[in-house]
Amino acid sequence: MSAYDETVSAREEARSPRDDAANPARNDAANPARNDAANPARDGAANPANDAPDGAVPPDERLWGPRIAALLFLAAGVAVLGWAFAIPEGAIEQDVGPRAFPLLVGVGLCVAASVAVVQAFRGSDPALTEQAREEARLTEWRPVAALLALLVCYLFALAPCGYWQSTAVLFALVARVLGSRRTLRDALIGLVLALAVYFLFDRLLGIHLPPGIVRLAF
Amino acid sequence: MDVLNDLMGGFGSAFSPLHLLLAFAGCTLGSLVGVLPGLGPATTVALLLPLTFVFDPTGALVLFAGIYYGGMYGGSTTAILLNVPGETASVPTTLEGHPMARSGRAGAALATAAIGSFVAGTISTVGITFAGPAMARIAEKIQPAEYFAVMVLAFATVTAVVAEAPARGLCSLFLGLAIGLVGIDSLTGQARYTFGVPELYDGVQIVAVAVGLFAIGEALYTAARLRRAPEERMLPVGGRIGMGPEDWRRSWKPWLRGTAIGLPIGALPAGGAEIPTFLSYNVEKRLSRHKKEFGKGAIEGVAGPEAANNAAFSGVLMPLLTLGIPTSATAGVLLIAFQMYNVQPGPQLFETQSALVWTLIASLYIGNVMLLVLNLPLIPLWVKLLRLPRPLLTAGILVFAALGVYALSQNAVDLGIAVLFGLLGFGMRRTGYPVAPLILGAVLGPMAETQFRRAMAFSEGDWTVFFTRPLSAAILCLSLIALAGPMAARALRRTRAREPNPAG
Repeated sequence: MSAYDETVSAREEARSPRDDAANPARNDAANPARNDAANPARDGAANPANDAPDGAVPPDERLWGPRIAALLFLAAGVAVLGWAFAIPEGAIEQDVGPRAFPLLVGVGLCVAASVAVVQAFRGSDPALTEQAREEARLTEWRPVAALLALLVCYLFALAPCGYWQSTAVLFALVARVLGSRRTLRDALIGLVLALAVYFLFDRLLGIHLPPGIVRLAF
Repeated sequence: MDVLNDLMGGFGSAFSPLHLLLAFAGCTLGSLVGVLPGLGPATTVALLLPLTFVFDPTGALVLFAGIYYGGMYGGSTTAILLNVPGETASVPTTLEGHPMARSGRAGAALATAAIGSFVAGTISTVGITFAGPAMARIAEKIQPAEYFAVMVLAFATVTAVVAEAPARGLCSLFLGLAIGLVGIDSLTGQARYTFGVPELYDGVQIVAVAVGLFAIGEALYTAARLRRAPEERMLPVGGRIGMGPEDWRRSWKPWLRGTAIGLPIGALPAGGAEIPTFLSYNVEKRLSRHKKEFGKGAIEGVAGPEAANNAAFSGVLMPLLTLGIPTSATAGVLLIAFQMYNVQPGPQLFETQSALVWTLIASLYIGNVMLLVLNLPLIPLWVKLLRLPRPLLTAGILVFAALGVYALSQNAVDLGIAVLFGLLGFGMRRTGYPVAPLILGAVLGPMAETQFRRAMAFSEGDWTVFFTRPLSAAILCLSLIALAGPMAARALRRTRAREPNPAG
């Protein structure tokens, strides 16, 4: 049995309890493990295979998440470091100017992110590999993108359209994006909620919320 | 007895009708929001943060004491009934509490968690009452180099809690520190990382960061897996909430042991709540006469860790109040609350804000009692809340998250920042980066830099100052051990595991 087969079979074993929703006992044994990065049981399941001499797992297109994340952290590190040099050191003679700490932070981020990049590309962290698979299996991107788009629209709509108007719409649309099909009910709940918040904050607590261009009777 | 006089003064202020009402509201809101799946104490406090700026600082902090405890308590309810730990520290509770609930003993599990939390919280608050002022006096004498070293230690331990991945923890920490750098440098007036955006001159609004990372990030995470992840089924409470004589007999020792483990570790400026809860779980498992029940619903495994969790949570307030150093994500969000009122926790706090501190401590006692007498009977009501459709719950969370951020500054830029950080929190969660180090870095970073530069100024620019002063050097060594220790232990375990069975 090659190292590759071992890896695959160990993974299948580690994964199967989660797919087995009909078996509550096994399902529950796996559940805390998913939330606990330090769980030794899962480590044990995945370790023997990954302790193969090169310590690497075969390439898998679904594991790009951690790689992209590590690369983004590295990019952020380079940016922090780069812009640190743009901070003027100040005219006053000082022991430590405004640039020293940013340089320290930038170097730290670059070093940590480099290690993370190497780990992500080698796949040498079995817990991460397992998590990435699990996430890839469960993630739907469409609702995430829709929610982000809604929130961005909301923040631009707030001032011109008014607080309670935009909030009621936001509530109903978010619920719809997430799969609620009783749009009329959701819209009503949203409207009541938004008006309640508006009166509580704007009228009672004195925290100003935008009324909108078209002011209604209240 | 100075301490008792001060405490009595605190109680006098805490027993005012407004403050009692606020403590009550805090406990209720905290457990209400904390019981929502996925919303741990840190998220709960972040989400409710903006509510407080309506009140005066004292009233707001009283409200927060309630939210703090309530959020944690709500978290243990979801851990038991839903098998969803709100944060890592609740994992042991799921291990035993959920099997108990499955075998129809949810009432006993919830009761031992609540009473254990009460016992641990009260003992720990007594600890804070007497040790707090003493610690503040010691803290006053701390020099900048040592202060900086202690912060490094706090960073290191919070990062090391995610021991499987120190590199990713450090990425998160340094990104947080970088976020803390944005704005006008307080010593020289130089703008740093502001890119000419005037809204950034005062720094990134930290409330927006916290709400974005925790609340919006959580909403996005829920949205992403709403349809594909198997829905967590909530178990009915089933029967009375309370414990039989046998449960009491098996619970009281774990409560006290949990407190003894949680309080000292939490009170260290390096603690956090994760280590004591796991430690307590293992201790109970080893000492129990019912070893076979562990994993199938042993009440000791709920009583001990829950007490340890609560004791550590209260203990965490010690370094927070006396040093201004938060050692958990929740404490980090609490520090934000203090800073919103220009109250800077630290060695001087007990002197300059004596009335406020003692009212806060008094309301910790009150909050503990309130949670016990209020929440225990109200749990079935909170549980009904969990039956609301998830889409509506998520929509509600988003509405309140947005409201909080917007109301803070009436500024859409902050809302944009929160959405951005929501995306970041979502991405980090998916790819195994912990967010706690980030929030701590962002909150503590500016303080760390100030102490760093002070130390450097004292030493006239000599970088070795942190290693030549014995105390500072010792603390920095500890930090290194905290970071490298788990890695070394793991490597050792791996070599050992390989020895008996060489190369398959």
